[in-house]
Amino acid sequence: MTKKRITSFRVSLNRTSVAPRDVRDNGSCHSTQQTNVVTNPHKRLHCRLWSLFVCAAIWLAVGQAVADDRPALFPKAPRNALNASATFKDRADAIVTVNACGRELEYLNIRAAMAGGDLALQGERLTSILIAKTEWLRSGRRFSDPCESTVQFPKAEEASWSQTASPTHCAVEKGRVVEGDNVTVSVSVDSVCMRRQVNDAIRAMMKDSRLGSSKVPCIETFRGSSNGEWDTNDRELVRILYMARNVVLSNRQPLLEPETIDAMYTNLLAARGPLGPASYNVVAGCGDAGDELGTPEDTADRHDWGNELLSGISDVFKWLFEFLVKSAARSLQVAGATVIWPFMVASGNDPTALFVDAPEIPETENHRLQIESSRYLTNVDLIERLDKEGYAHADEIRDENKEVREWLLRRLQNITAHDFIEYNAKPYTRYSLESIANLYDFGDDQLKTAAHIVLDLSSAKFAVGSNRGRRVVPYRRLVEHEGITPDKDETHLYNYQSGADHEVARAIVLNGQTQLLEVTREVVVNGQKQQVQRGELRRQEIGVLVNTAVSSYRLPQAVVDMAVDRVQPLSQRVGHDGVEQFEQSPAFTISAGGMHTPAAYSTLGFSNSNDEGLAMPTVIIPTIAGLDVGNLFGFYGESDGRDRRTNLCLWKGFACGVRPKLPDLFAGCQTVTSTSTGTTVFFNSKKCLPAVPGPHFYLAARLIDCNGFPCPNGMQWGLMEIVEAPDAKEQDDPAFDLFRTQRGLALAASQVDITGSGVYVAANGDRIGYRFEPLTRAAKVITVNDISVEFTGGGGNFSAGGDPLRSSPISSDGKGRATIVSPTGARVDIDFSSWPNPKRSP
Amino acid sequence: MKSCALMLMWLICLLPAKAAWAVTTVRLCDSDTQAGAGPNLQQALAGGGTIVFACPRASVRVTSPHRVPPDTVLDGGDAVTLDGHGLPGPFITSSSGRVFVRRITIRNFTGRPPSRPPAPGYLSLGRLWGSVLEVRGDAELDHVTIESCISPLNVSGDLVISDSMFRANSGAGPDAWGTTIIKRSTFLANESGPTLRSGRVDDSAFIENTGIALSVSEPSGPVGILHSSFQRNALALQLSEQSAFGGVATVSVRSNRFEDNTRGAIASFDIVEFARERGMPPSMIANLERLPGARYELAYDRFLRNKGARGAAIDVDLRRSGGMTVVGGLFIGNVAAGEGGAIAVRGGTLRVSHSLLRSNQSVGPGSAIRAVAGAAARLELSNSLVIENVGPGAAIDADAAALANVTIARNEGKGLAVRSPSSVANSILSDNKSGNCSGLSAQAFHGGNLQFGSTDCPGVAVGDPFLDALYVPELGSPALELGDAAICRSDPVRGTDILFQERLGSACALGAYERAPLRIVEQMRNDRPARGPAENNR
Repeated sequence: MTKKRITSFRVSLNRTSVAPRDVRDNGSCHSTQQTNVVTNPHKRLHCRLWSLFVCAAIWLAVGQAVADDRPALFPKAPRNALNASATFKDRADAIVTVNACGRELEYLNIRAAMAGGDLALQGERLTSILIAKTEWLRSGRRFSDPCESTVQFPKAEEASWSQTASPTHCAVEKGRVVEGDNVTVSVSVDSVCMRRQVNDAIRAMMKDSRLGSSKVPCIETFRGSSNGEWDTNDRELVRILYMARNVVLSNRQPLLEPETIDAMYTNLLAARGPLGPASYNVVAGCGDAGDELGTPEDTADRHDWGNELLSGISDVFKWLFEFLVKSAARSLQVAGATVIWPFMVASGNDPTALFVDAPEIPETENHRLQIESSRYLTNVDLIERLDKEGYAHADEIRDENKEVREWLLRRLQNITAHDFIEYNAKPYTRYSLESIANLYDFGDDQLKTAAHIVLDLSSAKFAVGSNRGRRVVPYRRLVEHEGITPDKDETHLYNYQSGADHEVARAIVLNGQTQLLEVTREVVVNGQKQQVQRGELRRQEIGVLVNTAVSSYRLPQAVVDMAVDRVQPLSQRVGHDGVEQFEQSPAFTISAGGMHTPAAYSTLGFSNSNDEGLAMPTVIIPTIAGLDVGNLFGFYGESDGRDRRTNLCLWKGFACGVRPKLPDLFAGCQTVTSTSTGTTVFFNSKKCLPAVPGPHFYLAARLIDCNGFPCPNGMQWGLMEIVEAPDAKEQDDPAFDLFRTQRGLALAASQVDITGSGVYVAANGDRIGYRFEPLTRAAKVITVNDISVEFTGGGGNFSAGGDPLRSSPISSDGKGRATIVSPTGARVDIDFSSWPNPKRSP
Repeated sequence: MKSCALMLMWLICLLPAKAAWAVTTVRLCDSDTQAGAGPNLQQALAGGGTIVFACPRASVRVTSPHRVPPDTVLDGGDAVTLDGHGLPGPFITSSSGRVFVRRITIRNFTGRPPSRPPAPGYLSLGRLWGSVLEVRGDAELDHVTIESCISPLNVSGDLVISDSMFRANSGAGPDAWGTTIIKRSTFLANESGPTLRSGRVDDSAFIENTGIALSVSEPSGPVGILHSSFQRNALALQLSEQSAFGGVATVSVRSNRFEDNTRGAIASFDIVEFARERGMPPSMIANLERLPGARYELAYDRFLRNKGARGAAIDVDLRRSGGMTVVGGLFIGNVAAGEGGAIAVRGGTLRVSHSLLRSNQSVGPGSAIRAVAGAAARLELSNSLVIENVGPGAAIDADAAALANVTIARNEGKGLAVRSPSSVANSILSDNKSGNCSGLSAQAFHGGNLQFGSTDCPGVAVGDPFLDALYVPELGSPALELGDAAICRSDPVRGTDILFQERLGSACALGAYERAPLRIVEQMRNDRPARGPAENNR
């Protein structure tokens, strides 16, 4: 392998964010052919520094050379769709291996903390390790061989690693390399050790919170909010339970010891029994989603027992009446409880009517999916265990589980017809999709098909709206994870952990489009320097990928085609409570900003602004580069966050909007022409990234100062058009010259009138009528060649489809029927119009 | 060819006269020995196989005992009664294999005395021959009614009784030395019910039996008594303190109802004491003393209005047992003529949690619980309510006790009386008429505790816990905040309250409840589809 000192890449998720650059502020610094000459010496210095910064930014963003002796975590990105499907196992194995035995120090630290009473890390950080270990053990293919990997840690943590008294410290160290402040240990974990680690860790877990949302108020105790979120752990434990069910290892021992299963039922698996509440009554609900622990027999035997106990003390309904009267009186005395008082008064002579009249706090979609999917699967397992031991009292649980199953099927049908309430939510998509993946892997035939449909649609939407695994899409919940603030990790387009879009993580595993993360590194193995191609995925966070790696779900070929091959232009519109709009082409994907939507949930008209649906920046994502949102071309709108307005100004390679931003990543190859009416900037990507084989593009942008309209004074609005440039040249590119000339004229000719309307004639000849709505400040494409193509959304239905002039890969009738068709003709047909009978083919 | 045919004939001759699977139809319906066309019952039983009847609504008089071959099936088709008219049994004897009896009524067979008296030095437990079935192998009864017989069943192997009725039988109940499974069956007005050594009783009823309704005798394997009801018997359930020699056996008693039994609901039986009382030789007693103790696990059982000399719900001696746990016990209105209105325990450890002891009554100490026999007797009580018990002594009277998150309130006598070092944590002692505490030092109290009314619990905070009608501390009660969260999280409280509502916060409540049981009450109130806003199913 040729050693490339300069062109080898270091790209890791542990990187410095690159701030989006507002062209209005800095645009004049970068052009070598600019017409405006910078004469101010301070400004010249500023520009030089800026140039240095830009170079550094490019180095980081495109991925540049450094030596790194850490071993590869991830296989190389597949180059085509067929290869992407065929190499799933390689990616999955890499993720399982690193998590099963490459996070040993983390395992030990978590276990030590748990032993000391700190249960904060017993959640997904621990369970991702346990799921990987379980997968390693159950896979059997490696059972006779130990799992081998490396563990890396700072020298300061060496003592933690050497502390052999740590719980279940049975991994064997095979070698150690100390370089500077870093230690790399080669470890080996055999199956006996790994089984102990799984069983011991589960038995050390303790339920320390409730199922469902945190901070649900109630007046029962006036003690304040409840501590929730246990359903995430429950969901993970259910996966472990099912993965290990009936798995007997080659030494004839069950993967999970009976004592471990007992401990899971007695201490951990709290979601079981009857369907949980859709919402919590502030008087009686208190966030009680129906947590229950105990043996399967306990669950069977507690039916009616509680009622009987209470009835054995007093007249329960008389007590309830008195309780509520006293509560009303008490609420006058307790600060913070006065919100209840109006409902107390309204309930009149019958305080028990509070159960009916008091406000309800809805449980959120992701929590319900986690709770009810876990509840269903736990009930099934519990019933099987009772049946197996001849415990003939599971009928009530069986009846309850029918209701849970029906709810799940109806809910999945609803998502198929309308998309998620928390569409594209960050980070809640993870919770929802992992719950559905559990149903896919472990549910009965109908639930499996229903889950399959929802996973397919979600994956398909991601495939068409993303580019090499990156996307920036409108989403609902949580506003705080908007991901455009430069100093936050969340601006990274491959962020798959904190505040992340979980489809990014799933795509890394499912289709492996990590080309932009690949680097060439010099690695020292046994004292020998070797060059290793690898993809760098941050080890500390790689646990997020485990569930997708161990699930049996695979992308349908239609989806892989769109995500990987990207051979033809595609157009996709998606309507749900909000809207999404994408244009995909080999060299780029454009994602429209969408529209703002109200909060997903409200009580008495009050809602949490963090739960609203965001319109995002409209972004152009080049295929060949860009790891951070700041590396993308975009329109950021008048305001950030929940005040950003609708942007659906998108047609093929054309986009318009307010507050245009051009990325520093391409500043080195831009050509700027400024006139009194605005600035026009052209980009030839081949000139910026000559070593990258493509696909390349040309882009033209026109940036115009606002004079109060269509945006406030001091801002800019603009137009951009991007086109494929398969024959682009680094120097002397007549095609680019022609592009500049023609697009320059077209952009200059496009003006908005007093109604905010304008027309742009695109490179392909389309006459695109666009408008900045005076009142709503929405930017939209209205007509194309005088035909109305305005996108008004789905009105709450998942009305995926194309515009009036083009077909789209995903089409949906908003009633549960949908198709996914790739340009190669691969397709998936979905009919989930009847909730008990979901159908999917092939 | 000819030799082959001869060989075949010879082989056929070797076959039994009647294959086991053959079906014989009894058409002579007056008596078992009735002469006439076709086989009578006597002939059919002698031949074995499957025996059915062509006797619509007939009562067949049985005049003599019968021996059946292995795997005989006697199927009355829900239309036949076999009446012994006082005939000394056994009606059917089988020396091996299985006997199946189905859809038939059998009545009026009397027992016979033991064939010989016990040899000197041997213990006779009064074993009788089964008057209906005396089976050396296994027996299975399905939809069978046995009535007015004396000691009807004796089975050496396994016994399965399903959907059957035993009514007005005297002597010993069904007795099998192997595994006994009893499902959906009723034992009504018998002198004694069945005896189990291993196996399960499920979904059955024991009503108005005049002796012991059900016995578990030196279990040799797990025993489960589940989802059954015991009403108006003398003693509902007798549990052997010892297991068989194979090792400690667990007896699980779950979700049963014990109501209005007149000599107690559950009592233990000590075979060592029994042998001693019978004057058995010391060597034999020494042997019996080596039997391992049985372990009792009771869960979600209801004990209502039972009466007894002591411990009207549970009267056990745990000294030789492996201990007893009671989870979710409802003890209401039980009355003891002596000590321990609901529970009387001697020796060993009794763990009670998530239980309600209300309105029990005793003449002696411990109107709810009496636990004695030195420091070895230990009562561990958690997440429980001990309320409104009536008697001159303390509601809980124990030599030693460990209480955590217990509410002891409004009892007629004292609340808690102990005589050895004990501990009380996160508990409420309130309004007990004769005082809250006796025999406790300040060191006995851990975590938060609260007393009200009397102030005789040394070092315990005094304050009204404002207990409402369900004994839940009302809003604003100091009891809602005073609990030690570490105690609430750890054993035996384990992060739950009496109703298994979780105690997960940084603070927890004193007493049995963590909070008002509104969700359960709401479910009771509604008993209909959940209210509230429509789901977000657009």
